Amino acid sequence: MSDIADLIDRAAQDPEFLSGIVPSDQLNAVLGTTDAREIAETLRARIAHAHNGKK
Amino acid sequence: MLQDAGWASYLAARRAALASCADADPASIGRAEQRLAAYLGLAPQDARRQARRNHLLAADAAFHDQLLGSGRIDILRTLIDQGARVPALPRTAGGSVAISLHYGPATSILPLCLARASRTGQIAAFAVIQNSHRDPAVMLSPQRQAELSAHGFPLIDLDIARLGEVGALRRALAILRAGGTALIFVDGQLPPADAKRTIACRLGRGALALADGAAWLARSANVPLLPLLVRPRHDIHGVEAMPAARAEDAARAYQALIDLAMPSDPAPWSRWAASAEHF
Repeated sequence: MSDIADLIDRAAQDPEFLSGIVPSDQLNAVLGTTDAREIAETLRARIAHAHNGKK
Repeated sequence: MLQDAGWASYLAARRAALASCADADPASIGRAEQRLAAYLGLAPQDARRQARRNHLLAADAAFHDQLLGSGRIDILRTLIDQGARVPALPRTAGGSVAISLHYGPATSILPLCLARASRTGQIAAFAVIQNSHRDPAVMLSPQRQAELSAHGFPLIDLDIARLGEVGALRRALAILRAGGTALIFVDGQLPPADAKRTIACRLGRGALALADGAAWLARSANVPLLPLLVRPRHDIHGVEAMPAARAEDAARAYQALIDLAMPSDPAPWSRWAASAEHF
């Protein structure tokens, strides 16, 4: 399996590259949460703040 | 080799987090693409690829920030003990103002590394100065701080929004004068266009003014600035201490940080270009 840095580079060129990875309970367990939808929204909110600025 | 169960769980969760955020908003990618083309002079195809890469790097940073905020402590220990390469920090007679930028997983990796260094006696007390005004999620809850401290990561969170700028700086000064370390992300609050005391840096084809706060703190406490880099390599993060700088050399230190950080993660360029009113 490719390392994370390689995975990011490949996914940047092919938007479908990560489609085979299904978010699992393991993500919630590692992040200390139980609600899969909640954690996805939390991560997206953090990305929006970091990535988009105020405009 | 890094093959224990905790490390495997960390990597699997990291991949899952990236996958869950991979379908970026096309409008957001488009804006980033335009900024990268305008400010860095990238060709359209490269700007598109970097814009998508920026989004994924932001997702990876979000995962690590959330891990710091609520994740399993044993995973955090594995992350720092096995997944970060922490340098020997220079010993100074007094404290130091550690500086870095919002890029990659710096906002989670660096506080954890410095907290660990504090616990092992490599540095004295450690505080991180942040501002939750626009994003309350950047701060750790008191319960989480206590939990981290109890498990080997003692850190003092100085929130400008809660303490006020004077209050946060006063507490940081006390820590520095007692030989401690204060970490500031120098691009955290971009100064307004008419600000008088700023640090002028280059940003691609243009200029970027950064706040003077870290340099002021170092000057006031008579301690050096210690620029810290996080360099991702494969699955791990190498933390590098650049040469310490005097407060008077802050512009050179900030610029060196920018120049060395951006090849790893150009995402901040996009955010700065969007946020800086004068840019």
